[in-house]
Amino acid sequence: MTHETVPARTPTAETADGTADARGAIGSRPEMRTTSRRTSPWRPKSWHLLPLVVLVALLSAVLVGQTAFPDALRIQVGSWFSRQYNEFVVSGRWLYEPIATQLTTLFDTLLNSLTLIAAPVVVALVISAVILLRGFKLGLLALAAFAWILLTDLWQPTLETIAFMIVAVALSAAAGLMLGLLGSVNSKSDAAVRALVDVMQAFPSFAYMVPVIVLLGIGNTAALVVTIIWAAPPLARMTSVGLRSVSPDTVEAAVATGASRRRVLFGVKLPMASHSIQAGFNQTIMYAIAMATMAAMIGASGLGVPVWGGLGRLAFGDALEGGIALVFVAILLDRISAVHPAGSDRSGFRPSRSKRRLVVRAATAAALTVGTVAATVALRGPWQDFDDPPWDKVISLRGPIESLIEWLNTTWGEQFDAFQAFVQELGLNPLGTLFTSVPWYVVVAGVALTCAVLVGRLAAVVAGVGVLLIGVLGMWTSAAETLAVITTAIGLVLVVAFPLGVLMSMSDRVEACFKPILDVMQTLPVYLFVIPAVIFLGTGEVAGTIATFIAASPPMMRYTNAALRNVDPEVVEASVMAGASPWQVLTQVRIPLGLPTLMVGLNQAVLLAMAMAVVTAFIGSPGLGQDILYSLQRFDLARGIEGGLAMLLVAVIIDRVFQGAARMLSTVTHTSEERIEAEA
Amino acid sequence: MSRFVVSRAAQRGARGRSVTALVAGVSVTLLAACAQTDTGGSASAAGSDVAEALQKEGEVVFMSSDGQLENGLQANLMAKVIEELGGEAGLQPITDYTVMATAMSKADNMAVFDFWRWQAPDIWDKFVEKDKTIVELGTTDYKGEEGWYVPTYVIEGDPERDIEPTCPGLPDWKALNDCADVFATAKTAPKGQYMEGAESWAPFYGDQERIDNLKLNYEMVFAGSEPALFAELKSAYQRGEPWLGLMWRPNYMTQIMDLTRVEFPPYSDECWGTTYACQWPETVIYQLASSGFEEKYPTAWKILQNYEMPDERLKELMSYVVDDGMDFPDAAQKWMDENPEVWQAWGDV
Amino acid sequence: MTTMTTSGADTRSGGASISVHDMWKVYGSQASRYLEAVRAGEDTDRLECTSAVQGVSFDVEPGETFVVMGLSGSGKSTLVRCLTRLVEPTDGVVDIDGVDVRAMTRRQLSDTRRKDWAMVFQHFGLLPHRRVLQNVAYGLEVGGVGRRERESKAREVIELVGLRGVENKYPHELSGGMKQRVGLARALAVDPRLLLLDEPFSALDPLIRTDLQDQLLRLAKIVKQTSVFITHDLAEALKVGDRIAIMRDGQFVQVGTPEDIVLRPKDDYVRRFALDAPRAKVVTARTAATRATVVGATETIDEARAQLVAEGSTSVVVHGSTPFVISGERLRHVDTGRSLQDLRDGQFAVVSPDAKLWDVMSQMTSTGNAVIVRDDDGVIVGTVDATAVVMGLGVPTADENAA
Repeated sequence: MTHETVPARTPTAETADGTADARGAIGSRPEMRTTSRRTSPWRPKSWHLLPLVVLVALLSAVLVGQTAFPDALRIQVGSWFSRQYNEFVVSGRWLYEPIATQLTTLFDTLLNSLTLIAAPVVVALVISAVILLRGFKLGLLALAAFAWILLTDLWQPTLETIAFMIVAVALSAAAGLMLGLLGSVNSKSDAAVRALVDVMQAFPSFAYMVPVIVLLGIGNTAALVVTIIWAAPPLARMTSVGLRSVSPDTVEAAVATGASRRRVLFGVKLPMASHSIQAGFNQTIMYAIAMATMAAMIGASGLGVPVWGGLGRLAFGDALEGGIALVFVAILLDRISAVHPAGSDRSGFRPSRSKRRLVVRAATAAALTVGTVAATVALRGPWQDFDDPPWDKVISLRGPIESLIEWLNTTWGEQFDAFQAFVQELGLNPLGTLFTSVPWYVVVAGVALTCAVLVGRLAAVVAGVGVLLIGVLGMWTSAAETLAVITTAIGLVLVVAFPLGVLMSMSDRVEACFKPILDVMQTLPVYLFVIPAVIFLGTGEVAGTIATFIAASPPMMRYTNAALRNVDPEVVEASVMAGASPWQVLTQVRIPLGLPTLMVGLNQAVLLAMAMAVVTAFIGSPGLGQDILYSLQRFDLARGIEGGLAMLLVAVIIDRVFQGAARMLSTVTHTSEERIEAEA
Repeated sequence: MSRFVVSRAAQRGARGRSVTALVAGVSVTLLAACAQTDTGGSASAAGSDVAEALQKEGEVVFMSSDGQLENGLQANLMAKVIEELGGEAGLQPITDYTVMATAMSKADNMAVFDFWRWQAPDIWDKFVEKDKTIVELGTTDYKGEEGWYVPTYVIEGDPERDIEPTCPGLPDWKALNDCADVFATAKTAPKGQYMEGAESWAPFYGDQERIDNLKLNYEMVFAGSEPALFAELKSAYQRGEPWLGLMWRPNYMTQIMDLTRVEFPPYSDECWGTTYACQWPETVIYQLASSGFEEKYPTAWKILQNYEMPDERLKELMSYVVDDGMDFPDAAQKWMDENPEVWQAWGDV
Repeated sequence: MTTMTTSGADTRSGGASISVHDMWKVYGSQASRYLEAVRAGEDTDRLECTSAVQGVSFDVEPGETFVVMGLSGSGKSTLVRCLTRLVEPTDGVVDIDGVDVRAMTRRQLSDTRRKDWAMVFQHFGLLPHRRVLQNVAYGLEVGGVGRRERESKAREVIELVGLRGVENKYPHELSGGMKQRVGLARALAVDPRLLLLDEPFSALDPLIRTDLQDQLLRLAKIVKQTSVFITHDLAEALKVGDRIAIMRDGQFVQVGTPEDIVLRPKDDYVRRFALDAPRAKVVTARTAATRATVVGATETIDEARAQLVAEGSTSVVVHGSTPFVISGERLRHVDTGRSLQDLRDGQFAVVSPDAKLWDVMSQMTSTGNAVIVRDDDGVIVGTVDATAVVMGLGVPTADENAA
C-alpha cells in the first residue's frame, strides 16, 4: 500500500500505479494510453449528446414494452467451456500435475524448515532484518506485530502465512518480471501482454478459483496458483512501463559502446527501471497478501483460516484478532518493500549521520539476533515453540467485540433499520427499476455512444459488442442488479468519501489522522466487515451496498486528497493572490484542475466495487456475484465462467469510459505537462 | 496422491513432538533434533502394535470446518486421538462441501465425520455413486434435524426478556399464514419472509415447492452464505425479533439459542422430491472417506469404524466450546483427558 | 504601523511603499527554537530546520521597481511570497503602505489581495479550464465585480498587453509568451498598487523574453505601480530594475542601483556576476565621461591652452549651440592665430549624463568622434571617447584585479 505515491498529476503519468489498492479489481494500471492520440479538448458539442441518449433511453423505456434481453440471442458459452475444460482435466494431467507437485513440495519444505527454527529466533531474525533495512521505527512496528501475534496465540497461522507469502511472492515476481520483459520488447508484445494482464486482473478471482480447484484440488497449491494469477500483473505492468521509459539516449549510448543486447538489458535497462520495478514489486506483495487471506476459502492455510473460522462461528472477536494480525503483516510487508520517493529521503540530508545510523542499526540487529540465539540455546525448554506457547492466550477480543456488537444491535437496531430502508428506497429501488426497465438495445446503443464521445470510434464498437455479449452470456439481469448496487454504493462514496478526501487535502492534520485508518481499512480482509454488517443491516442488497461503499471509499479518499493537493501550486497561488477564499480556491481551481486524477480515483472506486460483488454475494447481495458464488459452491464451471466473463466485460467497459473521460479532462491541464517537459 | 493435500499435519506433528531446534548464528544452521520424535508415551493403552501400524500407514487427514461446530470438533478430536495412538493426522480446513469433496476424491487419506447428504445430493451422486472416489465410512450416531426454525420466544414469549409471543400457533405449520405479517420484512411485505442459506442450497430442499404447494404466503430470501444466515438469526435473536429461516441441529446456533422447528406434514418418500409439502426426513449424517482409505490405511480405518459419537457426547463436547469458550483443540483435549477409557477403546483393533 | 488603516485604499493613485525589517522564513517543526538559537548565536545543527530567508531588511519607494536577483535556492521566491503572506514569514516586520501585513486578518488580507496586490508567476499560473478573457477577469471576479464591468476591464487590459483577438482561446492554445501576457494582463486588470513578479520571463525564449521586458518597461511608465521583480538573470535585473538586491543563501549580499552592482560590487560573489553583465547597457555616460575643459567659442586658442594645462584635462569642449571637442594633443600643435571655431572637425554628438554607454557608443560610431555629455541644464559634464568607453565597460584594470 504505497498510498503515499498517489499519482502526481494526471492519470497519464506513467508511474501512477503506485496507487493501486491491494484488492483493486483491475488494479490501477500505470497508463492505458493504448491510443495515445490527442483528443481535442472538451469537445463541447459531443457532450450535448449525452442527455440526448438518456432521454431516448427513457422514452423508449416508456414506449416499448420489451426490456429484458431476448433468450433467443443466448449462447451457451459456459457449458461449451465447461466441456472443453473437463477434457483438459483428463488429457492435460501430464502438464499440470508435475507443476502442482513441485509447488506443494516447495511450500511444504519451506514451512517445515521454518517450523524447525526455534520460534524466538524467527522473531529475532525478522525484527533484525526490518531494523537493518528500514530502521528502528519499523522495527518497533515489527515488535508490536509479533507481540500481538503471540498474545493472541496466532503463531502457527502466521508462520504459515509467511511461508505462503514467500513462495507466492517469489513466483508472482518471477512471473510478473517475465511478462514485463516480454511486454517491453516492442509495441506489439506490449499490447499483447497488457491485454493478458488486464484480463488477469479484471476477471474476478472467485471465478477462476473453480477451474483451478478442479485441476489441483483444494489447499495451498491451488491457493498459490490463484494468488500468482492475481499478484503477478502489477509487477508485469510496472516492469514493462519502467523498461520502456528508459531514455532512448542512454540505450543508444550503451549500444554505441558495443554492448550486447543482453548487456543493455541487464546492465542498463533493468537498473534504470529498478525504481518502477520496485514499486511494482511492492504492489505484487500487497496483492498477494490480499489474495492469501481470501484463498483460505479454497483451503489455504494461514491467517485467513482463523478469520474465516471466526466468522463461521460468528465469533467476530476471533476473526478480528486474525484480521489485525493480517493488517500488521501487510503493513510491515508494505513498508519494507515500499519505494522511498526520490529526493524526500531525509537521511540524504546529512550523509554522515545516515552512515552512523546504519552502523547503529546493524549493531542492534546483530546484538538482537545473537542474543536471542544465545538465550534460546541456554534456556531450551518450552520457550522455543510459540505454536504451543507456555502462556495462555493473553488477549481475547471475543468477549468485548461480542458485547459491543450486541449493544450496538440492541440499542441502535431501529436506527439501523431506518438507514437500511433509506438506502433501499432512495438508492437501490429506483436504480434497480431504471436499470431493468431500459430496453437492452438502448443500453447497447447508449454505451456505444458514450464511448464514441469519450474514447473513440473503435472503442465504441468494442463496448457495444461487449454489452451485447453480457446479454448473450445470459447475464443481463444479473449485470443490471450488480450495477444497481454499485451505482448506489458509488453514490454514497461521492456523498461521503469525496468530501472526506477534500477535508484530507485541506489539512495536514486530518490527512495524518486518516492515513493510518485508510491503511487498516485497505489491509483488513474485506469479508471481515461484511459478515458483521449483516448483524446490523441484515442480509441483502443494503448490507452489500454498504460493504461495497466501505471498500470503495479508501481509494476515492486517497485520490481526492492527492488530486487536490497535487494541483499546480502556481495556479493555486495565483488564485490566492487574486484574493480567492479557500472555498473559491477549492471550487474554482483545485477541483477543476484535479478532475483527471479525481476521475482515476472514481474509476478505482468503481472497479473495487466490482471486485466486491462476489464478496457481497456471501451476504445475499444479488447480481453477478451470486452467479460466481453459486459456481463456487456447486462447482458449476459454466455459470461461473459466464458470470466471470460478464464481470470482466462490465469492468473493462467502465474502466475505458472513465479513462477516456480522464484523458479528455487532462488535455486542458497540459500546460503543466508542457512545463514538466520544459523543466526536464 | 496425497500430495494434493497440503495439510497442516506436518506442523501439527512437529508441535506434538516438541521439536527442539537450535539455531547458531544468522546463518540459520539447524541443529534440530528431528530424530527426537517420541510420541509422548501416552499411547500405552493401545499397545505399540497399533502405533507401529499407524506409523507405517502414514498421515491421514480429516476435513475440518471451523464454521461447523460439530464437524470441526470431531475432526479435531479424531486427529488428536490418532496422534495419541501413535499415528499421524492432519486437518484440512474447509469452507464448502463441493470444495471438500473434490479434494477428497483426489486423495486417498481423507475423511470427514459430518456430511449432510441433503445439503449436497449432487455431490453424493457424483462422487459416491457415480465416480466412487469417495466411500461411505459410516453414519453418525446422532441424527440431524433440518427444517424451518423460529426462536422459541416467537411461540411462547420470553417474560425475562420482556418478549410477547407473536405467533403462538406455531410450531404447527398451519399457523404460518396467520403470522405472515409477523415475519414480513420491508423486502417481502405483505408476505412473510423465509430465510434460506445460499442460492446453491435451495434446489435440494424444495423450499419454493413447499411454499407453493402448501400455499404459504411467504417469500424465500437468500442470506448468501452460512455465516450470513447465522448472522441474520443472531441479529434477530439479540433484538428479540421474530425470525423464520432454515436451520438445523446439531449445530452452533441451535446449541446456543432456544429454537423450535416448524412442524410440517410428516415426511413421506412420495412427497420428498416432488411436492415437498412435508417435513424433512430424519437426516442421516454420513461419515465419508477417500476411496483408497480402507486399503491403504486399514488401521486408521478400523479406529474410525470404532469411533462413536452419540448425541449426549457431542453435546458435551459442544458445550466446552459454546459455554466455556474453548477452541476446538482444547475442547477435544479436555474431553480426552476426562474420558481416556472411551477413546483408548477405539484404538483397540 | 501598528494602527491599522483599511489597507491603504485611500491612496489609490501611484504605487505602494514597502518596508521590510529583519524578515525570517524557517522551515521545519522547530522553527521558533531555531530562530532563538540563531539569534543567541548557538549551534543549530541538531535542529532539522532550513531557513530560506534569513533576516532580510529593505525598503521600496512608491513606483520603484525593486529587483531581487539570486540563483535557485537563494530564497528569492520565498522572499516574495512572504511579502504577501502566500508563505507565512516566521519572524520580522513586513510593512506595506504603512500597514503591518503580518497583523492582517484573513479577511483584510484577501481584501487587500483583491484590490491592491497582484502577482505574475514563472509558469503563468493560468486556470487551464477558463478562456483568456475569464482568466484575465479572474481577479475582478473574485473581488465581486459584476460580469459586464469586469469583462470590459479585462478587454481593456488585454488590448494593453497586445493580446487582442485571443480573448476566447484556452491557455493551452497559446504560446508561452502569449500565456505570460495573459498572466500580466490578469495582474494588471485589478490596477494593483503592488505588482510582484516571480521570474516572470525565465520560462520563455530569449527573443520573447526581451519583448516582454520592453513591454513591462513601457507599462511601468503608464501604470506606475510599485514592483518587486524576482529573477535569476542579472541582465534582466539590470534592465528592468531601479534598484537591485543580490540574494544568496537567504540574505541580501548587496542592494544598489544597476551601476552600483556592476561598478562597485561589494564582494567576489557579486563581482563574478558583474563580470558577465552587459555593462554597456548599465554604465551611464556620466560615469564614463572624462572631465573636459569647457571654453567659450569666442576664446582664443592660447586662452584655451592655458585653461587646459591649468585644469590638467585631456580635451577641450567648445561650448555653444553646437558644441565640439578638440583634443589636447591637437590644441597644442595648431597655430595660435586661428580661432577655435576653425578647429571644428566633423560632427559631434551630445548625450545626457544618464545615457547608457550602449547609446553613447552608437553615437560615437556614427560621428567618428568623442561624444559630449551635457546635462539638462546645459552644463557640460565631460566627454566620452574610445578610451573612456573601454574604461567604462570595465575591462578590468590591474587595481581591480588586485582588489
